[in-house]
Amino acid sequence: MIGEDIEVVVLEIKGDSVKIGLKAPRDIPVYRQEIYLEIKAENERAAQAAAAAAKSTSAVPSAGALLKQALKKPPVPPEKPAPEKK
Amino acid sequence: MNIETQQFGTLEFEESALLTFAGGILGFENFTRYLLIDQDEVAPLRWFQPIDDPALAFTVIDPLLFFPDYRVSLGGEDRQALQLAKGEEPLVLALVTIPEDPAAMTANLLGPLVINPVTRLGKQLVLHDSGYPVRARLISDETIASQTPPVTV
Repeated sequence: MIGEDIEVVVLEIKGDSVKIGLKAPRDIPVYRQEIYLEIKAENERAAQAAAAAAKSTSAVPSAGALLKQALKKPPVPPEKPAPEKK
Repeated sequence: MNIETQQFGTLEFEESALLTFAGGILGFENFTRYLLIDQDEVAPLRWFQPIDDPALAFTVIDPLLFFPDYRVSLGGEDRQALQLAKGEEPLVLALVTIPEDPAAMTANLLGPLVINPVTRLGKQLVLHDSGYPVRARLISDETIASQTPPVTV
């Protein structure tokens, strides 16, 4: 047991590997470490990319320009005025 | 206060402008003080500058600009960490990774930054089970094509 609510359960023993499960009340979140590692790796990647971008000075502004352009795209294609008939 | 940064040279700022991330962000747990810097040349990106390592600079974006349906839910613990009063909503930002080809840049929707604009306390959330990607393309034919036009308010 961990504290009063959380129970560690051995699910399976196979050779020299043990599968362990956690039984916890619903309001106690049990997180997978992979998600943390994934975010950590991405933070590091972002920092590295930013460092590289800072050296070229134009990378971040050009990224900004691309985004600006993407946002400018009119959400609805402008309606073509109906050809006037005379 | 002022610091020497790689990105901006000498940066002068009021101490009251600092954002405090008590636990840092993942992988940068020791960096607890940041500035959010707006610069016309990089907008809609914004700089997220750690004070504790002026050689670094992150870029962030308002994720709702590109992902209008993006939602972040805060637990009680998160609200407490930010000292968010009832009914108050935090500022949500996504870290952006800009690779060599800027068009391939991605936003981290799995680990957004949330900031209480009043207390200036912030935190990187971990959206377990949200299914949001850690690398969401900001610019791609797909995003542009699939983006439902936002209703103008």
